[in-house]
Amino acid sequence: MIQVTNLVKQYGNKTALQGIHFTVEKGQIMGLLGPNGAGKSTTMNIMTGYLSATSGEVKIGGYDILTEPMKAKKLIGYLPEIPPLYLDMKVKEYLNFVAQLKKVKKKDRKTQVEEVIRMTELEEYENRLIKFLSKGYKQRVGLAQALLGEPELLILDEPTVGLDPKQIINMRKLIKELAKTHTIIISSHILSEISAVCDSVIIIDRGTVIAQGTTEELEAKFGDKNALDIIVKGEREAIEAAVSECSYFSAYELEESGDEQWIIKAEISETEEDIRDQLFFYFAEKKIPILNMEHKTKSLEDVFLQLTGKENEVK
Amino acid sequence: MAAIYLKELKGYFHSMTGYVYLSFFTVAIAIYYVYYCVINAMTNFATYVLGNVTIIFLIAIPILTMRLVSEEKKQRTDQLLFTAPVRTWEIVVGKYLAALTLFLISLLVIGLFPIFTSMFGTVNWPMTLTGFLGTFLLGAGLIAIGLLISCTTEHQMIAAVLSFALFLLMFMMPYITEMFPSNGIFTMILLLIAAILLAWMFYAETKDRIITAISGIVPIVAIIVAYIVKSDLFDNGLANIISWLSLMDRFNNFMNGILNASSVVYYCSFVVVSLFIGTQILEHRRWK
Repeated sequence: MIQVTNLVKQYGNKTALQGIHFTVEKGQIMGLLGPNGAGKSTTMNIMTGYLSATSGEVKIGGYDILTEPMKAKKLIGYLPEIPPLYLDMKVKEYLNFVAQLKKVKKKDRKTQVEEVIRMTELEEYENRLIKFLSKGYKQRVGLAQALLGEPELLILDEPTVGLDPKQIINMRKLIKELAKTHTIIISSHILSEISAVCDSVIIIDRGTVIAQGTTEELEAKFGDKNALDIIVKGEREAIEAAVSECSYFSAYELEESGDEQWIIKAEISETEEDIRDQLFFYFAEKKIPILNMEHKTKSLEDVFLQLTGKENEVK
Repeated sequence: MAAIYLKELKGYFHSMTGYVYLSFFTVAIAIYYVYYCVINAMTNFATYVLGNVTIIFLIAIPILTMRLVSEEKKQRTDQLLFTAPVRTWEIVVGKYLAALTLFLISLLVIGLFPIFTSMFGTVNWPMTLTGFLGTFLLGAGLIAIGLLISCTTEHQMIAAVLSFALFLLMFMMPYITEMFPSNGIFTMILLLIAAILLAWMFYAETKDRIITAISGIVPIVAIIVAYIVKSDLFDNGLANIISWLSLMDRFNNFMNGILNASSVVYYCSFVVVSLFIGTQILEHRRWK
């Protein structure tokens, strides 16, 4: 559906994108993740034909956005970071204008506008001036606008930013609903956002793709399956002796967490099997009660921080 | 294009702009009308009333054009327009036609004045209509420039002030040129400076030395050769160039009842070129 090849964008001497490269298959929900200023909006603006890349290529459904913009743009519904609303218009009037702008046939216009109003639950507000709407409803009007013209691809730039928690949940629900019939690209700097709705993720930082894959793949790739956090109770000496004798650990750290409780941060020697039951019996034998024990798998959040943080330290 | 045209036309009446423009233009014309045609009982509407329209245009046209494109940039709604399956020139032309329509409406309103006069005296209709045609063409040209200026900035007040200043300069040009020497060498030097400035602009845009060299050297050589071969071509050159570029000279002919087909073509091509440049400015923005 989308092929982005070696996208480079320079603003004067500043390089905003340095070779962004990815493809999105039809029907996928792809998350574009990165800290603020990483180049998410620039990438999206280039994909939709608002900006032109210094070099590189964007193909939407096989049409190049630069050489066949009319055909490519017809496939895209775009919700920019700031919804492009005419504040002096009423909701329905605005949507009618957008439908006309997107060359929706006159006979279909009315039904399509009503359809998107229904989908975004704007029925009560259709005759209000946009300037009097709250942020959340403005965002919905922005989304409704993107849905007009029946695009196959939706590009949503931080669709939930500035919404209250309830609105965020509603927006996510709506995006999931839309995903049944659309290919979607969402950008965000918030991870829970992306992991809640997306099939696959691209992490970009300073204008380059630093990781990409499904959420599970990323967690598996950067996660650390062989780390275990165990909280135990008892005397320090007894615990230290038990731990140092334990053959399952290849390395460990001991940390006090107060009230005779200790956290053992252990690294387990390479093994495929789950050794937690064996550890339970081992410590039981030593009369050291285990209060808590968990595998430390890295969440997407950790992956993200690890990847973008490392870059920062280097520079 | 139709979508943008209708949206802009409605937009004039959603905000105050349309009403402000219409009332300002008609009231200003009415003042001239009352003074010349009512108090002094002149029936020559074209020469006396429309002949003074340039002063009114100085303010009226910027009101009409200032927000056309700049406001889209400011509100970020240009993102909607430029990502919709619409060509950039359609956006520019749609907006232009909307402004032109409102301008035409105001001309129809002031068209009532000579009709009133005709009830009490004899109106020279061919001359009056020629006057209206001239007013329409001058207005159409100025709206195109106003729109072009609106494409360059995202602040509507800056667009308004720039348009006002440029129109004022255009109207004053004939008087300003009188202050400069009219001999050929002066014109040649001015042309050379213009050629160098143009080449420098090319360089700033493209950073390409070869294109810059070609675009600089070719006109400079051409100017020097032309001056050596036929130096009388440059006599009084500045005044000629200015009056050719100025929309004013031809306007005065219309007001005196002279209908000249070449002037009509001139104004139309002026509009086309302005809109073309405006489109290019908007296209160019994507590459910044």
